[in-house]
Amino acid sequence: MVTRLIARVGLMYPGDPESLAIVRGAGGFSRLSQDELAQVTVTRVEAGDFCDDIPVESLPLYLERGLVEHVEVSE
Amino acid sequence: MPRYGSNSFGVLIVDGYDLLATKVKGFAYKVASLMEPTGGLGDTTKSKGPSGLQEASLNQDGAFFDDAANSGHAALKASTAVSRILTFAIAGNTIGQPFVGMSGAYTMAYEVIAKSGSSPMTKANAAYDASGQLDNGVILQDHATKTADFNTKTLGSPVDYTVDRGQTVIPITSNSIANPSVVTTPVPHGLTTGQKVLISGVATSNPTINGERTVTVISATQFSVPVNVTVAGTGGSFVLATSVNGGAGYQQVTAFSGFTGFVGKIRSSADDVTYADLITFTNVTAAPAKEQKTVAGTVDRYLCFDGDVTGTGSLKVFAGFARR
Repeated sequence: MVTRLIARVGLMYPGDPESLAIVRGAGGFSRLSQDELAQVTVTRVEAGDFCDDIPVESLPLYLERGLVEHVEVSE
Repeated sequence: MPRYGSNSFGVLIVDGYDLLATKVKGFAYKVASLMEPTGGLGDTTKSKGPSGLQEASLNQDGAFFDDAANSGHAALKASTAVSRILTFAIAGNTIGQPFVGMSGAYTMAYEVIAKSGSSPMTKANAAYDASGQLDNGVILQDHATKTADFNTKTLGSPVDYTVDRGQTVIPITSNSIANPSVVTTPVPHGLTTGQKVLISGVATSNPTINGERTVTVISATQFSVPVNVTVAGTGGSFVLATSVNGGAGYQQVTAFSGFTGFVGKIRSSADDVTYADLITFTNVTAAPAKEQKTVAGTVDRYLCFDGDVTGTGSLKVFAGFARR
């Protein structure tokens, strides 16, 4: 069994480490320039999808609110 | 101080009907606090007191009468028993600008006026009384035509609550040497424990308490922030970074062709990195379509609108959110 993160609501977040670095460097999506926006990819998950790659800075609040959960699944 | 003329009146949609196309000449809305007589036998002067209730009314006049499909007459001819969803914006049809929304606007009067003379075109007026709350919010999706999936976050336009023009800037008198530091305000701060604020302009505090902080309420004029301050600070102010009384999302679809479905969502974020669904509107398959959905509890700092279409075609949609 392995522990995975599952979304309980729809989520959107930077889709890869390079995109996350661009968003973090700018201080958030609302601060991205048009050029930076063009370089960013976005991951969309729906409720019930796995979201193991959710940015670590978002995880504590979303766990606290029950928007994501740790679940045990077969390997 | 911004001033707005008729060219800034950017949105007027009633139940999914775009009424700006009918060239409305005048529009007014009023919110009145209801008073109740408080006098009695023996009094020599009349007295009144606030009842705690408010009522809202709206009037639009001078629109050209239009009985084409999906136009003004179709929108307004229904009986007074129909509860309408109404959204309008007087400061421009732009993401981040304010809008007013209402669910529960009942048409109390609809006049069609035909006359001869210098202005012979037939006109139409409508008056609404409201049952329920008039919401003041922010536009998340400007009334615009879309032909594919879209998201206002990745288009560069998420809305930040801390720069909302409807915010009240609360002054700070000082913050103390303490862990956590105690912030004192000269006026009631109105905060709830756990709420987030954006503090700025505080001088000399070491370390600084400027930035986004989660508060713990101590009294009406004091709260603490989780900073171990060793040199007291003075001055500064704060605005809210989260709201705690939920809110209402509005979506109006005024045109729809080709697509087999459209799902609009309002998403929120505390950190502007990960966004979560806040409101999911019902799948739309035809226009006109309108919906208001409410949420309770904390609403985070950043909001955006996401549109997911099925098939190929085009639609015209407006969306906004009002914090309560």
